[in-house]
Amino acid sequence: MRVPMARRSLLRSASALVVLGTLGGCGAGGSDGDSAGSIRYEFWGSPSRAKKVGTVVGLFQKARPGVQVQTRASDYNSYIENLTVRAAGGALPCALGVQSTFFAEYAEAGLLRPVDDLTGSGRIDVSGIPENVLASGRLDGAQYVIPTGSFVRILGYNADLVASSGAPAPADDMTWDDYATFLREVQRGLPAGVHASEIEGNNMFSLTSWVVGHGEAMFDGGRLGFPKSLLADWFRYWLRLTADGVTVPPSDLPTQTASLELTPLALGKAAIGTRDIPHLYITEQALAAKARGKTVAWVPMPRVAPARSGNVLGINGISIAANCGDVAATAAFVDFFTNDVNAALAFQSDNGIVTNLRAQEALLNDPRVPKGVKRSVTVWRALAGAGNLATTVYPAGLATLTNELTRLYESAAFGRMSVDEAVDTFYATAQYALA
Amino acid sequence: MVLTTARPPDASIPRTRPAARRRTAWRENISGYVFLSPWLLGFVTIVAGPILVSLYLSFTRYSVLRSPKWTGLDNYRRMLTQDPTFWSALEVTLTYLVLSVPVVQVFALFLASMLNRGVRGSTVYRAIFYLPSLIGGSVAIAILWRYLFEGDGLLNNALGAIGISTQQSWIGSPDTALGTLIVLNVWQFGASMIIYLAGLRQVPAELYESAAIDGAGAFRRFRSITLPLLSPVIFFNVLMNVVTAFQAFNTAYIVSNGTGGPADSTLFYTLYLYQRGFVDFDMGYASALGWGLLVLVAASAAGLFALSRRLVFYGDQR
Repeated sequence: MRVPMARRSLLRSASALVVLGTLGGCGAGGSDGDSAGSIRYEFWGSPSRAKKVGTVVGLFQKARPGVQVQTRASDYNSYIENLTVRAAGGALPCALGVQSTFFAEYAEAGLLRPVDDLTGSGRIDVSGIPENVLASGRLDGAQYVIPTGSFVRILGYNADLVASSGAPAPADDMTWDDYATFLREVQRGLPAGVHASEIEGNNMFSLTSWVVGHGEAMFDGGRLGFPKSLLADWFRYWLRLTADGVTVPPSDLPTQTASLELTPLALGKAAIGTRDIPHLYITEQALAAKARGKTVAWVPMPRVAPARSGNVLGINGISIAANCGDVAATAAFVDFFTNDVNAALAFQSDNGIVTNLRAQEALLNDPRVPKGVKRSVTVWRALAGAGNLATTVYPAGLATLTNELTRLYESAAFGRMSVDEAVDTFYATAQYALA
Repeated sequence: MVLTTARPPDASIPRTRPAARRRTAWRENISGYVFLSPWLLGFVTIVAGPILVSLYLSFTRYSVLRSPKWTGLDNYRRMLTQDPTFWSALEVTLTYLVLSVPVVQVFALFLASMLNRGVRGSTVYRAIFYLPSLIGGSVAIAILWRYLFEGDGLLNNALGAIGISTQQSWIGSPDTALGTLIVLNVWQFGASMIIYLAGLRQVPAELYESAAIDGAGAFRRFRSITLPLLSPVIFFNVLMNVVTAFQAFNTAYIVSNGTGGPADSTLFYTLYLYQRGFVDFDMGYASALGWGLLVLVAASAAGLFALSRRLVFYGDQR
């Protein structure tokens, strides 16, 4: 039977589309999900870190020939964005790098697998990790993160600049009032254009030190755990120092969030600022490159009472996705990354100070490990040994609050908002963000 | 009375009923629709679909990691009554628009008028003036702009060279930060200038000659001949610049490191929307902000069109 012309035309058109669609579909990659014996590990970091992770993966695959680990790295901001989008699509990798500042978002959404059964059975050995470090990866009593690196906020200061001001070196048991007095003393001896301190009023982690140092909790369930008056005092503390010329001017605030080498402390424009432990060495190198100083020394964060540490501990670590297709292989990889000494020597504390105490010992004793890495481990051990570390669990919504604190402090610093207005707005935002 | 008889139907032409004719027309059209379908599919899945989904999400609380939760008008209520940052971002955007758009038009028209006089080397000048429009919106220029206006940036160095010593950080002060972005936008006047130049070339020279004979001076000729005849072009440029100003994002993001600071002085509406959507992952609220922007742009365009009925002269009007 002869097919009518219109129908032939339709058939030809449809056939063309099917062919095109098939050809287009052939170009698409297959599924990149994890399957038995093959897992993905995604993390943030520079190409240098990616290379170190590659070395660790190579060591793991040699030890466990049946398991293939594919890795993928991106910069920090892109990483979180990608992770969130992939989480929404159910495409999280089995092993994902997380931080204590944001893992709660994923854990509360049921996207991360609690690993208590794995740590309890010894499939992931956490005996070498201090309890307070482990606690930073716990939420509502369940362990979601195996910490592989830790970071602590402390005070880093340009020892040469402080010495040239005529002020004595800061004590390691200062209260916040002592700290203000110390800053004023340093400022008196500094040349024009150089200030004693960077501004910390807009920094969420410095605020955390202030709050926990006063014996309060940052968060309490779905709301802030400290009174408004404490936040108002924090704002006023830094605004007064700025008004007295002790800190860099508010117009320098953008430079404080730029790369480490461009901050006022690294450029020799400020004598002291808060830093994570590994950043001390980077800042020191930046100062030396500009001949603005040779040594960046450190002291613990100020505190209100000796029993209350203001040095807040955070962790970087690895979590296992709730929909991971090969938990056994992933657990083996996490265990290797966390405990294997050769892996630690290859990774060299590239993402926070290594948490495993045996690995720390190995790093300190190996002559090939750079000086800066050894110094970070030593500083961490000094704080841990003195029991001078505080733990805080950050809930979902921290990113919103961090940006809001910066925005509100800047508004208050430039006189566009009163301190009370800024505090009220912060609490209103927290009520929404933490709900 | 004339009897008319219907002509018998031509036997060679097949008789078809209306329904059959419709089916035939449909079959003939279907080939076109089939070849159109890839574009239609793309439009529905990439454009129309997400637009409708964002409308739905604007009535929900949606954090990407969990399912959307219907909250009705809460997002819009929060936007209009509980979010001071929304009003701050709107104010910054409108200030940017109100200050930069007229300046761009005046600058562009002035230079187009100069170039229209047939000065020597006008082709070279045209290219030079147009160049910033090509590169001005780029990330590289935004980064350069930041270095230009920092406390120890090129501008202060240049001022120091002529005896004006200042360490003022132009992008670090909320009083001047927005001004640097306005200057950057004005710097990109070239695209408007080219369009004005084309419009000026369409104005008949005889009109100017007649006016000159009648004793009209340069300003009078500009006001009574150039402006009315150029009004459609002015309207087009203003409309396009207004829409572009509402959508400004790159420069504010780069210059302020994504914060919209200092003190929200460079927090454009689109940057605030980006922060809410892609930093806080508050997609429901960001969607509401997006629809708010649509309403703003539509209202602005409608206002301009309404104004054009009085101020724009089209040659075919009586």
